[in-house]
Amino acid sequence: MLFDRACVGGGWNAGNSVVYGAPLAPHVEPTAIALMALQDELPNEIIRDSLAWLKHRAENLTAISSLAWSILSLFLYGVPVGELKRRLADRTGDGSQVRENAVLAVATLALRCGEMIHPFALIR
Amino acid sequence: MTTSRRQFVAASAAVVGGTSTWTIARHPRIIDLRRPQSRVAILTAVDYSGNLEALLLPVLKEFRLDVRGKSVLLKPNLVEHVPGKPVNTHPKLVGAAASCFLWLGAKNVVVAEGPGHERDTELVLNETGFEHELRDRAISFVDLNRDELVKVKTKTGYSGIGHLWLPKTALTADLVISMPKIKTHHWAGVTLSMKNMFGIIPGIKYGWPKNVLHWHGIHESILDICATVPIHFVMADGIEAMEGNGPLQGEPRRLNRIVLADDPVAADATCVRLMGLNPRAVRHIEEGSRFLGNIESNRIVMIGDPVPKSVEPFRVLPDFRNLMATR
Repeated sequence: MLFDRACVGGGWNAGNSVVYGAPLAPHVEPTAIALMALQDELPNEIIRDSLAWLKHRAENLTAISSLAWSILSLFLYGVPVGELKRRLADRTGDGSQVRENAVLAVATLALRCGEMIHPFALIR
Repeated sequence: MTTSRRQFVAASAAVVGGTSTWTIARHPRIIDLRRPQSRVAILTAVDYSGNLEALLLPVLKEFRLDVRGKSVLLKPNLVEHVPGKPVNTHPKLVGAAASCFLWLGAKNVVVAEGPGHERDTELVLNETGFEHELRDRAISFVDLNRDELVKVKTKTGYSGIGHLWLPKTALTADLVISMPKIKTHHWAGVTLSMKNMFGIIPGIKYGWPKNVLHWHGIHESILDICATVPIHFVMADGIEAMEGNGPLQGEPRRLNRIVLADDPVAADATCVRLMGLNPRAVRHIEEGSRFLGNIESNRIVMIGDPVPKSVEPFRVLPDFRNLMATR
């Protein structure tokens, strides 16, 4: 189903990929999470396109939750995330300005990505 | 889980979309929010860079809103950022409105929204320019997708949903100001002040893109929401509007208008007339005129510019050609 719901050109959003013939844009978080769910699949065109889209999209992200999910996902595919982590650390600060616990939690996981067991990595 | 016939019919209608073979089932209403006469102002503004406060403030004073000492919630339409598409209410208009309500004596003003597509609200605020605009004006933002929730019985029974979990911020505000972007909509025909209230429905409870309500019938859900959380005032952004396959994939359409109103039905009816379409063909506006506000021109007092006699109609999807009948 994930492959069926992929957006045209890669990535995923919250719902339909095409409405009345017009393709809808992918979103960061659904794409990052879908890619993590597909980490054990053989790479195919949809995965490659989605990964390329997320990598490109993450370059200019500053929103904490999207940045954190991108780091967790890209790391699993071997994409360097050092610069993204630095940006996330800068945006998050000491966490006191992050109003939502779920966002703070995923930011904390992403900031430790590579230093400990990845919470969403398959253990083979 | 069982599905009642009513739920099935509503869901089927939502799937069918805008076909004109289907009408809203009538339900007993326990409220009537209509005024004897409503007031609507159409203001001309050619862009967002001018002094919008200077344009808005004198007209807001004419409405004599009871703002002093009140908490004001501004509810813009924020969906997601789509480059080149006028999807969202412009941050400059919302910022100007916030300043005006503070000058009019509001105790506090918050901007609140629960974006319907994009889960990361901070991302929407970043990319639409809201973060910058609100920070500059020291205006708070509340993410209605993740606010504290209160279970509320709906005041009408159009959708059959019975109750809604609603954000406390929306329920406790003294004045709810709906600030829609004037757009066509591929499921509802148009999205204006009433449809804009879908944004108070919390994603954390109902998911994204809030399909539970679509399955219960989009027009029915709009009516139940607007009956349960009344809109006190409307400030609609039609400076740059959207036609065609809205609310995301349509084309920009310059309307150069801001519509203010003390009645959501009158506001939406006027916006639809400005779009060159027929408000009575929009089912939630037509049904809303029975208890939420006024649709007839003779019960709407115009402040400022009248609706132009001749308007090039907004392009609509084929399912909504019935909107292009007599205004």
